[in-house]
Amino acid sequence: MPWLPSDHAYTKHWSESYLTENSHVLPLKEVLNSEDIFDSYSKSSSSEEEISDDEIDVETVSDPPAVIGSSSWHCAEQKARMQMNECERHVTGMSKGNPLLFTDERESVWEENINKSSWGVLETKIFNKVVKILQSEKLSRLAYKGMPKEIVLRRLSVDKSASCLREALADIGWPIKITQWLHLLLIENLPMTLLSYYLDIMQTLRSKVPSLIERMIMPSRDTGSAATERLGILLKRPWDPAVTAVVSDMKQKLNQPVLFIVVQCTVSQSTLPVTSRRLRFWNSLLSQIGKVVQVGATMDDNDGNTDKASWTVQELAETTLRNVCNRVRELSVRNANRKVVLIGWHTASLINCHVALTEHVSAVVCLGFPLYNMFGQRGSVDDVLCEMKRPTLFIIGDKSSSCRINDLEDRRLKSFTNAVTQSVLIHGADDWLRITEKMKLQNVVTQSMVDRLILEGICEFLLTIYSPAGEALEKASAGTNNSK
Amino acid sequence: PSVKWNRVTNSSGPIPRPRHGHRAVAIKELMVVFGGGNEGIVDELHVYNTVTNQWFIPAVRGDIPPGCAAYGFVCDGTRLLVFGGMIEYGRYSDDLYELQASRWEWKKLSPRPPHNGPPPLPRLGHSFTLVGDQIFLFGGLANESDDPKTNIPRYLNDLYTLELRNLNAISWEVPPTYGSPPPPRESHTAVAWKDSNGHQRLIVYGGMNGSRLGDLWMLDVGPMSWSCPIVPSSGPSPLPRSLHSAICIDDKMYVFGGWVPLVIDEMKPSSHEKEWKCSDTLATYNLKTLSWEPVSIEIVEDTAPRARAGHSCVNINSRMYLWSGRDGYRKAWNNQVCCKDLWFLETKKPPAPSRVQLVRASTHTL
Repeated sequence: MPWLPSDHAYTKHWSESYLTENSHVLPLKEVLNSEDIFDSYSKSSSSEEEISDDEIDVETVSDPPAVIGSSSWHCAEQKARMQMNECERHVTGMSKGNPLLFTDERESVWEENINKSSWGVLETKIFNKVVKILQSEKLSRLAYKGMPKEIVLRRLSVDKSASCLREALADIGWPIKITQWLHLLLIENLPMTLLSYYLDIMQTLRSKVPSLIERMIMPSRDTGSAATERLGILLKRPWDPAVTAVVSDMKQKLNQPVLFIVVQCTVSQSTLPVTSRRLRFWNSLLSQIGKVVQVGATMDDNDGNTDKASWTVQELAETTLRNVCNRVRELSVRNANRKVVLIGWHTASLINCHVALTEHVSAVVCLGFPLYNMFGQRGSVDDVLCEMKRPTLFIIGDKSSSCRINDLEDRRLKSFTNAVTQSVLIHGADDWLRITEKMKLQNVVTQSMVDRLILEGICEFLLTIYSPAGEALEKASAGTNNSK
Repeated sequence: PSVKWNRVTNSSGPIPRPRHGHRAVAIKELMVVFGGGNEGIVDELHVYNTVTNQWFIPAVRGDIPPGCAAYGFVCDGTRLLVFGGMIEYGRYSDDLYELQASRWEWKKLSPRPPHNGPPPLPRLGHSFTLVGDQIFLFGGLANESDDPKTNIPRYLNDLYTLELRNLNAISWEVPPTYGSPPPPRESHTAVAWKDSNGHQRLIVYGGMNGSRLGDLWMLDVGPMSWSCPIVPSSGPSPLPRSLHSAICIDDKMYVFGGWVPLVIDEMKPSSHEKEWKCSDTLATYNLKTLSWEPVSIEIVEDTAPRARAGHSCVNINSRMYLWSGRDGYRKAWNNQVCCKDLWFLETKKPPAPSRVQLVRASTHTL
């Protein structure tokens, strides 16, 4: 009576078979340390509960390894330090021409030397704020001076100061007059060290809000040669330990020509370059392991772009889906020797999963995944996603509001049973895999370093599924479907 | 005449958990759903109001029965009767419960055994049908083993009746029947039909006895004679099935879904099929002409319920309401999941409201 339990299976869990047949679920990987420094401290001290009168050694410091990076890349210490101190050197260089202006004595008195008689409330307010930002920047630099990961810590503190400055200026509404006045005042009067901090901050801020900063520094670039000279550095892009890192050849490790199709869920003109700095960085990251092609909602500008603005979300999704399908077909013919990997952020990852239902791709990488929708969870009974067959990697943050790791693991186990799936959990990351400030400090990482870690995760996943064992697994999980 | 599927969306109230093996009955415009299961047998009572598109859970009291699946459920006025079914894995019930829907009060009944035989065995997958003033219990599956873990199945084809009018002493009867009764089976359907001469009939269709069945049997309730209606060879009869649903609306029996064999071996009709799938076909049997009739379904953007089994249907006015059931396609990937959708089949074009009535109705409210 083999049919009796199946016909009248009212008591059995509907997918009890997952308990025995779960080879398609690759284990979860976690990135970054989720434990609070203080938590781990109290834990370790409580575990050694024996009370001893031994003297506690508080003098010798066991240095943690100072290497920044990981197996696939590392930070060239010397080069990074050079970049880190570029503003400082720049300012020192300038001071040679005018030693009187940049002496250390000035540092304590420079504020008093400024004639504030004509200032209004607004001017005083913003000036005080900026001074405060510069002071705290100075304090934090002193605090981590000489520490093993100083480079990363410096990056984080400059980022923080930049966001403070941005906030302060946004608070008063970025008035042209005030910002230009402030900038001129600061570069004329700041002592050497503080000026270098200021330039560091402005350089960072310029990468975030280029046009506002351009406007702020415009007049100073026209007046006086000395000022212009000082400002050249501002136009450089800010340094980052991970961006300029030394990369070991991941491509060779992968040993497979890969074509990454980066899907974007926006109406973008393919002719325009990618505007987001992070997406640009990601494209460069991916190009380290394969060829990168970007695909958006429309193929190019000539196919009825007249009323893109009036598209509904539904239309956009449908058009994107159709277009991505077409592009995937076209690109896989053109790159027959390459394995096609679909990659997308958040909503685009959903599009990718749908594309992979019909198109032949070798893998899907989801950077953030909207598991929840208006009607509950994806991957429940009615969802076509349950029929996913392609190996899929879900990279999600534990601060994501549209996906919880427990639910995703449940879905991987019980719903996405035809596909080899893996998930990577980034601690402290949101829907777009952005790390919280607290997490950055706790783990001494920058966003771009985390992005590199994510890339490593992608690389490992591709390695797994392209290995003979992985291919067998894929066949097996697809085979269970066909045989029954 | 064409029929049309409509999916009911945006229902308010607590929507019950998807399941299979539940039963549903209609009281006026209400659909009452009880039992069934998926990952555990359900003991909740849910009511759906088809007019307000609203689910609600009535507060029940009295001898609340345990949850059961593949049981018998009958509605007589506002009195609902529950008999048998699976209450635990491998353990079947022979209890009879009454739910008075006007008070939402449960009561356990102890019907007297028939004077000419033993009371019905505990069973599941039987049919329990109200025909006139009597309930007909037919067939089902019993477990011969005392240990619920070891299943010794026994298919039944016994027929019992339960007289409803005699309220003081409700008792089982084994009525004498004439003609050859249908062979043993379970998960079949039995519907009541009254022909134009006022003769009450019970129509048994399909079921399982090791392989799926597609035969039709008719019991004339007056003389208590069984007949196996001959299906005209001209009309294509649907695949044999079990765990389907069947209801009777206006001389037509509507059969939907159920498990059907994947491959039909014409040469060996009695061979035990190994592979089954769920069906999404709707078949109609005309009880007047005794023939399967082709259905013309108005397809609007291919909206029709997915293939399923173990669902339940009720007849409310000219509509057939269908809720949940188990999705058979997913069996392919080792997952048994249940549909969470609610549908109704419009078997008739609703008559166009006449102008006069509308005017009168609106003046009445004024």
